[in-house]
Amino acid sequence: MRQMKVEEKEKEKKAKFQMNDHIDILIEVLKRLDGPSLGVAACVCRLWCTLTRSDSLWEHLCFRHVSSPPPSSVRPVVVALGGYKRLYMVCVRPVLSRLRNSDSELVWTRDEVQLSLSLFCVDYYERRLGGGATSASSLMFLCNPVNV
Amino acid sequence: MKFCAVKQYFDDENNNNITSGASTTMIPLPNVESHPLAILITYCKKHLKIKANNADNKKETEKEMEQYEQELLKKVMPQELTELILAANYLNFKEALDFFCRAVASAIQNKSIEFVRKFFGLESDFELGEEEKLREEFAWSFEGVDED
Repeated sequence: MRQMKVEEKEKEKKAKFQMNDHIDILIEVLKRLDGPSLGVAACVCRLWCTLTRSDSLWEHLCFRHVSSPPPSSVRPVVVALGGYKRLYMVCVRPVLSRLRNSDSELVWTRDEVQLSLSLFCVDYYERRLGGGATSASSLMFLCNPVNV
Repeated sequence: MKFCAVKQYFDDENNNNITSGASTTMIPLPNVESHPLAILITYCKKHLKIKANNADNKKETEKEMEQYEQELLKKVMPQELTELILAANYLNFKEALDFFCRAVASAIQNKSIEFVRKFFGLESDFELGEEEKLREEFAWSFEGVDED
């Protein structure tokens, strides 16, 4: 009897503190995840999937390690070219995963931001013109690892 | 006063000219349990103490605070972190909220979908085939995920 009461109390407590009832807090936690963990989060449940579809989370991820974030005028351009999730996947993630091997703390300056945005533009136009990332003349090779 | 919600309560009281002694005023906190509140009070006191001790040296403050935070995390159960976040959010205690969100994020960083579900007590509410599609879309996130 006492065991049941304890279990019921635990269940009640659990029901009281459901993270999914507090979306703003859930977003605060998701904002602090890295890219792959955000991908895992998207597969947890429907609510999390919807939240991770929000481009603002990926925008935060793209420029989290930047010393001074790009101006807000960049946003409509990125959205028009395919959105922050695509920017992360195509331009930011490949570079970050290579730099991760170094021990120093990662901080991007304006130069790295501008390079990734430029490559993003290149990616968009190559897709539009039908060149594709696989063609030999694509500039997107700059995002791929190089065997030196 | 770090607990902004409590500060607000005091400010409102002053505005209403209620003449009750500050030391005997009872502040209702219906959404905060005693256990997380106790931890938050200790955290706050420690934070203020460290700040006072290292008034000129910001780096020293950060270092000491980090050490204290690491020790604290060892004592707190992972599932208690959700309660702590909700309490810090209700009390509008920004530093603690940031810290505990980071703690939860690092607890689920690089973990599998099942681990995250178990951590938050969530269940999959996807339709048949929906989860499969998502796992394909985010296949790149599952490389190098920690063992459960």
